[in-house]
Amino acid sequence: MTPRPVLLRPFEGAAILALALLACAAACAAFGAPRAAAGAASSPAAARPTRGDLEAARRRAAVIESELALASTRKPYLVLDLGARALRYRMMGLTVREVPLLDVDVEGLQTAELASGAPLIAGIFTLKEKEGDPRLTPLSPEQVEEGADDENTANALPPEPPREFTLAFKQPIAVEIVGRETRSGVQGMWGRMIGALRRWHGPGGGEETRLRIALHLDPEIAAEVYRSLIPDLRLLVLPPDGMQLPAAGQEAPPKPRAARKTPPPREKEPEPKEVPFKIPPPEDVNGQRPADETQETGEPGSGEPGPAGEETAPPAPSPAPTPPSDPPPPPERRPGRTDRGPST
Amino acid sequence: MRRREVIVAAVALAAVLALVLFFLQHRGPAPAAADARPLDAAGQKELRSLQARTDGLERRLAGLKPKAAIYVVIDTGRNRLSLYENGAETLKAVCSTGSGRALVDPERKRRWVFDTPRGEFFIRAKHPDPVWIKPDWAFLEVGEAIPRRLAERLAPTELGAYAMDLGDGYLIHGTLYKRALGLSVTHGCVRLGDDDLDQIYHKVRIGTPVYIY
Repeated sequence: MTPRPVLLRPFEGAAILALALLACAAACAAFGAPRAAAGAASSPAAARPTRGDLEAARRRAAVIESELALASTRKPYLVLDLGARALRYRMMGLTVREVPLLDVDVEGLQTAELASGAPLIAGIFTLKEKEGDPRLTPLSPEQVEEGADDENTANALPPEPPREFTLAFKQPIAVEIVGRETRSGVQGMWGRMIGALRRWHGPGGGEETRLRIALHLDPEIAAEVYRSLIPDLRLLVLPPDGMQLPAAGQEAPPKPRAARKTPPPREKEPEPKEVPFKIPPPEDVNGQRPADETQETGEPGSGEPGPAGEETAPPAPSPAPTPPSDPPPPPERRPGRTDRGPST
Repeated sequence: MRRREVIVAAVALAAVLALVLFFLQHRGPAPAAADARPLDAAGQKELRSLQARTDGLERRLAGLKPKAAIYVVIDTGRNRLSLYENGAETLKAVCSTGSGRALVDPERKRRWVFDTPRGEFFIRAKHPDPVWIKPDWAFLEVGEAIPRRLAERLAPTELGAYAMDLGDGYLIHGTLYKRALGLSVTHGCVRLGDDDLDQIYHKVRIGTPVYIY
């Protein structure tokens, strides 16, 4: 009697079937969403505005509102556009520099809901410190003793900026800058391998971090970004369309301040209609007014207000901008200011 | 098919599946597709209101942009200074900006951070042949005693041929240390080479805006 051949035991067959089903589900999840989006995009545009248009308008309004608030501080700020994969240095509404990002890894974004509020569409975060900031390690007395008679000596030079570093914010988010090799050849291949491993590992950050972002960019540009960052710099994070930020304590847009302007000279006050002109007070032969007249017209120091319609001296003009004339060489400064005086 | 081969194939499939799931998890949720349903009357009213509001905000934002015919832009990351005239960059110079280092005075408990300030500034004064009065940190930094006499603080050649005052003691000036141009080595001022300094000095006027980022 020959035994019946059994290729698989029942539990093994069930396990393989379950794995196959899971693979199908994963494939559907991976490719289903883009197809749905493409299908929606390829459908003929309706004449009437859609809910998508309303959502886009809400996002646009939130972004512009945040930008206006940051621009009116007249300080530079960063705009991290995750959809466009760009990091922009902005100041007063002007893009002064745009850094292309090779890749972006984000953890913590959420699917946008139509009823989402503005703070989740554009988040403002404040930089607390950058990793290895030289300001955190002041020059030691030994370094001072060793001295830097010439500022070109090694002691006086700041350390070489890192190519990979983490930025800590006052809010529970973490931004990691990864300088990634873009050159060809063995060096480039090695750099890309390291970058791939880092992306595999995912962005850093502690357990309490709500949003983790890793920005991959050229190593040289990463060093430039490092040098340009100082504490209290604001970062405006814009999630891609259809996504929103998690509630990570992002700041409300600060109230826009009025533009800084030189105050115009005070205009002449309108004269009262009933008094078309005023007879000037009499003067004696020496050009002096009688005492009672002086009091009546409110001379300086008399403590009395002047008559209506009489011009007063305009206020002193603001110090900047001043007329375009070069001043003489500066006098010697007061020694008392030298503890915070000019730097080189 | 042998039983062992089936098991190996199953393990391989499981590994592939685990990888796919791992990457899916790291990709995060997929963005929601745009809602193509038409808006009702209330929605259309809100859309019009939002568009009007956005237009107003954009006008205000555009109003903040520099309007001066001549202005200076300083990039502390790249250590570059640019002069703009009528919206066009007419001069690009290598400069040096703040090192970002800190220095402490243990005796008097003082601390300095050598950063170039960021933001909008104006040329407040222009000084030919400036004389630098060295502050306390300049002596502490090199391990020297802080002098009591003003004359011992004077450094007539340190700042180069010209200096432009940005306020709070920060200057755009020349340097003796040409090799350090392009590096972040200064104590907060912006250093320029001689030729660039000469050109900038004679182009800008008092009141010219300077944007530092």
